[in-house]
Amino acid sequence: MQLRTDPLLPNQWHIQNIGQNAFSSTYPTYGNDMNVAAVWTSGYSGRGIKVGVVDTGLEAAHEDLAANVDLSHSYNFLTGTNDPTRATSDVGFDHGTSVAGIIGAVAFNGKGGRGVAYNARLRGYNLLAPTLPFSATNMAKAMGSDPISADNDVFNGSFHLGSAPGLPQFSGTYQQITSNTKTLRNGLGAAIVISAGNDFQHWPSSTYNYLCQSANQYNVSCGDPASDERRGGSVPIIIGTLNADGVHASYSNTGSSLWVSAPGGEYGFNNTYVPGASDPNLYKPAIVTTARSGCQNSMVSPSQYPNGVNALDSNGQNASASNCQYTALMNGTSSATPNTAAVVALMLEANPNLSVRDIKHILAKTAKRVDPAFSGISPNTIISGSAIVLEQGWVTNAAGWTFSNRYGFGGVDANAAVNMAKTYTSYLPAQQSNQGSYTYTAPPPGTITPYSATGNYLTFQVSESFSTVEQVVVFLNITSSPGLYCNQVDLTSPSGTKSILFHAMNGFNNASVVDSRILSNTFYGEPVNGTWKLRFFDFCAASSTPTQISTDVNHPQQLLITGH
Amino acid sequence: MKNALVILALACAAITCVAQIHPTPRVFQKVQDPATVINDRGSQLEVLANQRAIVTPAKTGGRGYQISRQDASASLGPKQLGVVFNHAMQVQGYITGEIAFKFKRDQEPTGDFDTDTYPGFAKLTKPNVYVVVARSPREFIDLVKRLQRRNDLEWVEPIVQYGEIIGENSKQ
Repeated sequence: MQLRTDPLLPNQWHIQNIGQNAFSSTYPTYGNDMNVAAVWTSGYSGRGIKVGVVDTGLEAAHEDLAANVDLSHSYNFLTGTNDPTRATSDVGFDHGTSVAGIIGAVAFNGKGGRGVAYNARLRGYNLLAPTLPFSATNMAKAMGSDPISADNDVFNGSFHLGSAPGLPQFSGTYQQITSNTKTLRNGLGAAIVISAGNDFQHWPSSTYNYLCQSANQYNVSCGDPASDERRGGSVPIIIGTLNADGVHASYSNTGSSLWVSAPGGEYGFNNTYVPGASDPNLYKPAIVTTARSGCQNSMVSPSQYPNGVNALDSNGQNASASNCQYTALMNGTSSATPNTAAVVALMLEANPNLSVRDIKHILAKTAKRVDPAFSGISPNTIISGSAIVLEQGWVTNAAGWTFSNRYGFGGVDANAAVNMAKTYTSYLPAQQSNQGSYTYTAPPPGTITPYSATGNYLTFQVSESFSTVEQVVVFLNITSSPGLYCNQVDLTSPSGTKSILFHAMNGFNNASVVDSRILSNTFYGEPVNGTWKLRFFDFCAASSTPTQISTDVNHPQQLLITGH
Repeated sequence: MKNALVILALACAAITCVAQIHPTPRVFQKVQDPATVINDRGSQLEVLANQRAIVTPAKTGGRGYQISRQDASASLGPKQLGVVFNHAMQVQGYITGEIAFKFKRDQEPTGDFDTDTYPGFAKLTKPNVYVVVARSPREFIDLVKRLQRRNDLEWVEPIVQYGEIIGENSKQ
């Protein structure tokens, strides 16, 4: 098969990384890709798979997307029509058009690059249009609760709640909207792939940057996937990001709810165009994909960078992007998410009988162990004489699965995933969960000991008719805290595996935590039954506002275990 | 001077120079008007009845919100959002007036769920999650409280968007 008939394909390191030019100053490190080319050679390209791009819009007439766009099942919430293209008067970068290109840019047309699932059908829903207030009604319509989107196989959600720096209450609404997608595809379930968020170094709003100082100091994540209530449910597949060196991207949120990671790159600038930046990540590769046509819609402002920021994003001076219709600046968990969504499309083409749980299982089973030397973050400067484990690094659980809060189960390997999907016959049995959550059996005093490396814990005795964990959701209720950055919560399984649900030095601003749900994938495959131990820490000095956990029966700490 | 610093560094290494982290005194936003506070699933959600917001594209490529002061009776909706403050999260949020709720197992809406009594009443998603849409802060508070008093509902949830929502490509 001829792989090089799309002019920008040779620059798309996320597809096949040979250490090529990606328009940034720094070249990608050879081999750090999603192993996609071999899948194409096997004949899979996402043909017949329908992917909903729930985003800011989608330029339906884009020269490298149009042939794959399905307007009959797209929707524009601003106009009430089926065309999610932004209005001409609505000038600006269109995030959704770049996301769509990563999934399904057209192949072999002599234009642009190539989507990972280049024959998938793309449906656009402009739920996040910049002038459109967020609406649950619109979200339901875009995500499978309406005939316009109900026959999608995959939903791509490259978004999260922007600048809410905290742990939100669990949302039954979003849980129900996403749970409904489990009934789609004749009960096999449509896959919802959602980004982990880009708050590792700072919140999107500079108003809250001061909250990230401790996280920055200890090189742990300021934000967490759980800081968006739309990710709080058990259904979405949460995606972290790798850069072109094959390690954690500088902005990608970490947390126990991550499933896998995929390429998203760094910032893509070239020092020939933008010299003198102190952060080396600025000059590392981002993702090459489609962009909304028209140089007035560029991601970087022509007035700020008249000559652009790299040889592709050069305000139309590059013949391959003379209308600024391609970019080498797309990054973020926004990019890792469509990369994963596209791989799911390839898997479903290879085996349309996969359920969502099978898809997740295969993604995890075939994930590459990236950054194998990463051993976590354990400073001894928080409590004298004690190394406090803020992040564990890679953990091998009792069922033999390796997991880290930084990467989930590892990096997506498209070829391995599709190969496993093709021959997959061990479909997971029906999923079960405990009815009504467990209440604790040994409550600690409501007040958590300050400046303690051992913390206080409570236990849950679990005895269920099903045996194997798929995921555990913890309901947290903290009635007061000296500052949530003082606090850390972890959960230990009956097999002795520990998961840090949220780490100290986080960037959360909460005065209290009310019914927040944090999901952990760390225990995948482990036995359900036995004693689970939930531990709370307060690493700060004693204060007038001690950490107190709720002992209110209406807002207790609880476990919800799902498995088979 | 250089030697003194070296000695100090060695001394620190020997005795472990770790100071306890003392929490920064925090100033939480207090409730301004108790009459406009609703119980949102256990936390206090204050409706700032004199504020409205319009959505504007943010510099980050997503949404921002422009706030204005208005009379408490001014309408709210998708074009003119209401403003709320979540006292548990200590974060401001924005509402279009949507309130979602779920009926208890096997229950469906009864005849009293007409759109006069419950404006904008519509099904949101399966199996039995519905939405109503308030048109003013007062109506929002009233609807939440009325729905919370019903004994045929599993939960009631005001739909709040906290902060700006942005696409997830990262910006420096």
